[in-house]
Amino acid sequence: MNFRFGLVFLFLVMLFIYACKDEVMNEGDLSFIPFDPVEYKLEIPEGWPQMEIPEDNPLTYEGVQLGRRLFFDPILSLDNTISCATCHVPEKGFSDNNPIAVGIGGALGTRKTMSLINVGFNQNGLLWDGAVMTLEEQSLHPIEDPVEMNLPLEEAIQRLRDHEDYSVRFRKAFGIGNVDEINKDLLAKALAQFQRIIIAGGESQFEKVMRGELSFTDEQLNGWEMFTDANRLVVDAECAHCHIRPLFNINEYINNGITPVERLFDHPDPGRGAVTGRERDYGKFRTVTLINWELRKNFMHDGRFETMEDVVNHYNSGGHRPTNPDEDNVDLLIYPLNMDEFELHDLMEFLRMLTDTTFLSNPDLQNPFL
Amino acid sequence: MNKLHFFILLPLFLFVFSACGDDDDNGTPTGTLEIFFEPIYGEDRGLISPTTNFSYASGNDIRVIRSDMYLGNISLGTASATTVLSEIEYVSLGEPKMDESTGLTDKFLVLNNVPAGSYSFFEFGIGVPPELNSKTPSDFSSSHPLARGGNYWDAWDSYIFAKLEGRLDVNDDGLFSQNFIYHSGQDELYRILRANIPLTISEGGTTRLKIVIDHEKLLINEDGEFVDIEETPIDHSAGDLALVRFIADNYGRAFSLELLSQ
Repeated sequence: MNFRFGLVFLFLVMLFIYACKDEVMNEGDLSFIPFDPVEYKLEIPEGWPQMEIPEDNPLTYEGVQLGRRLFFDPILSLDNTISCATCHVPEKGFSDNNPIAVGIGGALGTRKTMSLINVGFNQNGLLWDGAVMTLEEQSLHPIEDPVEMNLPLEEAIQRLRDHEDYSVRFRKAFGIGNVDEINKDLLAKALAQFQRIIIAGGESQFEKVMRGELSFTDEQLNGWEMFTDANRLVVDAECAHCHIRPLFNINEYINNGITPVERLFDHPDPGRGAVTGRERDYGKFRTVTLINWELRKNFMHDGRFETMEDVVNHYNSGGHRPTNPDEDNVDLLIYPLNMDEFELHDLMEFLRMLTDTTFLSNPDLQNPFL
Repeated sequence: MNKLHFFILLPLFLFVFSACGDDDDNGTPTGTLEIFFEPIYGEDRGLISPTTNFSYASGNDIRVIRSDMYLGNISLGTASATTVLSEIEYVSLGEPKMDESTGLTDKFLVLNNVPAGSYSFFEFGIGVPPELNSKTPSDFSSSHPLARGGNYWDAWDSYIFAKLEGRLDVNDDGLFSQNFIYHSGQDELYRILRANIPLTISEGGTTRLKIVIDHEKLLINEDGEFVDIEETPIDHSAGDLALVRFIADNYGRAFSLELLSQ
């Protein structure tokens, strides 16, 4: 009897092992994991424009959290040493303090790391030169770039497919039925979703003044009026043409006269010109937000100005124009402003009102691996 | 080819008629209206360009580098009704390129789903209509023409209706060392232009118009008075609209319309 029972037991054990073996053979199957994504509601400050979200990549809690992990995870770099957040450091306004971006193994890039603050509102191209139009498209570039993360996308995708936790997260975010369905498009979508929630500025001193919760000091008010040319009795600092509220950015491409060249083709970095192929676009770069500039160092596409005071002094000087007007595409609003030290001081006082660090306490923007 | 000049309508007149407009499709037959822009300077009709010199009334040479504007309530109408085809568009006319084979520039608007039919006038405003100018960029999603932050001026509580920028060779040395920047805004500078022109939109067809904008006439009025660029090179401030009003009042002379095909 015991012997017969033992045979039956052995048979059942073998059947179980076989069943498990079969399970292992189908380990790529994810369909048994519930797919029930929850809409992620963006908190956009009152009075700000609505962010346009692609119809094929709606924000979901699961998508944002997946993007967040990918953003902070060095798995997307060749040697697993750097992540997106290595250059886009939250505490540094999702930028860094290097004049020029430093990638894998200390590789030096060619331009300053752009801040990702409010990047989801940009509708006129991304990067310094507008080479890509969408966050989805942009998200993959650093992964493959040899001087950034230097990881072939095929390898990146394979790593994610082999990663148990990510496989589950891709399922929960995008409803894929098998790990093989993890691809670069979904990787891009997840990273884009996370970047769209990087919103800051709504709790700056300036916004509080606009809401009537605070008042300008005399110096701040003077700076604001110079910034916007709101008062004809003060110097027009011409700032707001490119840095208008609430985003303090117009996201357009201009040559702001920082590079002294005599011919358009002499620009060491052609900027927008390399994208459009138009000579008149040489030396043009995208305007950037002034929100949270205090968290950053090294300004302009090549990080040439270490401080905001340097930036303001540049604009006050009128910048550089080529002698030959045919070679001049410097914006016409770049001219000597002749602000004195008191006016410069007041302008800086206003600019310091644009800092809002409340985003740092947003748990969805924090490093999930800490 | 018909060439018609616009005339400026009183804003109140427009409000009455634009309220009658109905741009809903509702399954009615439609066609397409293509509007080409030809930004020129002077009677020789040279295209404006950052590297092309024109003679200015002051005796100096001038270059027109930027000419941007909002066009509000682009409409077609008959004696009994006005159809608004687009509430707002933004056009940047600087640095146009002419396709020599077609004689058309790369500056154009395409308006689809225009109700087919016969119309007796074409009309639009230069600037942002008051009902839209009371809003701010935050009222629009980020790709909407009125979400362009750089085209809203807090100090005016208004959109910037039009930007005209360039350089004057003030010393006659070829260096064009005087920049000029004229930005207009505020409701009182909204101007409505109408051209009385028989025009047909055919079902499934495309009707083409060309709007020629003579920038010399923007700066010089019919009495020969002209903007003293050297004296007032920049005007984009609230509370001092005299110069930009002068330019706005010249729109009717500066804009002309040609019906290319229908």
